[in-house]
Amino acid sequence: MIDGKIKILVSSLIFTFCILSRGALEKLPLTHILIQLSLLICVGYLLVEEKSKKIGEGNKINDWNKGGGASLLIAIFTIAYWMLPRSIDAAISSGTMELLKFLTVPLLIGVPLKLGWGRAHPILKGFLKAQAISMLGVAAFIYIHAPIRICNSYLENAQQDLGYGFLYTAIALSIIWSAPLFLSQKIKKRTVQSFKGLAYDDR
Amino acid sequence: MSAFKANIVIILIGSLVLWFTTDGLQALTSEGARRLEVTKLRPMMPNIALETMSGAYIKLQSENGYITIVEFIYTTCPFICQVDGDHLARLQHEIKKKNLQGKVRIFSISFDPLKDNIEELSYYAKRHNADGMVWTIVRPKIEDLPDLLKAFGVIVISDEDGGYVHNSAMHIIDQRGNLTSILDSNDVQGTLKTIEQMLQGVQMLQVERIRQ
Repeated sequence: MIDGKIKILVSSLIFTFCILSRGALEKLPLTHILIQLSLLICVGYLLVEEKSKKIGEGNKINDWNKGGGASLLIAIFTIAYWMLPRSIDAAISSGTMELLKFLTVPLLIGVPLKLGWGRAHPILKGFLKAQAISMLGVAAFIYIHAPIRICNSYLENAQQDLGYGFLYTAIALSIIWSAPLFLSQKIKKRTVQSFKGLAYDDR
Repeated sequence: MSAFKANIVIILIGSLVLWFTTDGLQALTSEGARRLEVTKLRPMMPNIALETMSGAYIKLQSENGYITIVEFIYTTCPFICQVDGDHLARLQHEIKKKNLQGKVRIFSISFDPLKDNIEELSYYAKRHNADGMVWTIVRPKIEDLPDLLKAFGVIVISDEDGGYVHNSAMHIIDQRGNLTSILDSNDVQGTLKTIEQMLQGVQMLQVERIRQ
């Protein structure tokens, strides 16, 4: 319970920070997209309690979110929407779109990600991770090499900075996500050995 | 609801939302959206007064049925506006060559009217051979500037060197004062083609009226 309350507190603190730092973070596309949007996703992600991840599970007929598919799809479409340069431009030039951003990024990306991720099949998880890395790579290439300004609200070199931001994020994520797979062999061996050790001790 | 149905519904709604926000996958950037919107809505441009490089005032909407090409500049621009100036010089040359000078005019409108005084405007004109007849360098009154930029959908932001960056393009205003198309500022041939099509359209209308 305390854990849940702390999470909600942290979530609302991050949300307040995002609102207060609006002007500063939205000055550059790098901070607007990589920091503000990521933080807003965290806001939603933290809102969902561990238990509610399993809403509908067990109810075999009415489980609309079986395997987390439905909620992950909601998150994917919302991500696609906010990946459009014109959505980002609109969020800067129109107050309504700005409000829409602050609502949909936590509620339609962060929350459903949390609801779906825990229930997703490992193959689906792997597929989505690979997709995220390659998408960041493609976006990095486009933003670094585009001969035009993609957002009317931002400068061309700021756009390149965002491209490099995407690239480094892609590299970081691919290391974070793949490293355990290479190291897990060791972990497994160690676990097996310690179990064996326990078994011998018992005897 | 079964998971299968739920997924189908989400995919349908999501695809529809993306389809409509990108105008049927035609415009992913706001510049693309601006250009597409203009061809569909043909918005009326405000009929504001512009001060020319000779100190006279001229209205944005033509009383004599000219087609007006508008490019936004600031004369102290070190790079893009100068290149754009060369494109417009080429356009001016082509217009004269095709004998269209009584039908088409070009405005380079400064969005920095405080710094760009008449001397600066005429210096920019001299550098790029703007003749003052077909092609005029003009500035709006400072109080008209926000409405003007908004009407055209031009966004001006400051860069790190004390200059500006803006979505530079050729804006074509038809004989009635509607903004009908926006082309890349280096697309001289495309602009000429559009102008000729517009002039042909007018001719067709006139022929039809005579027949009636």
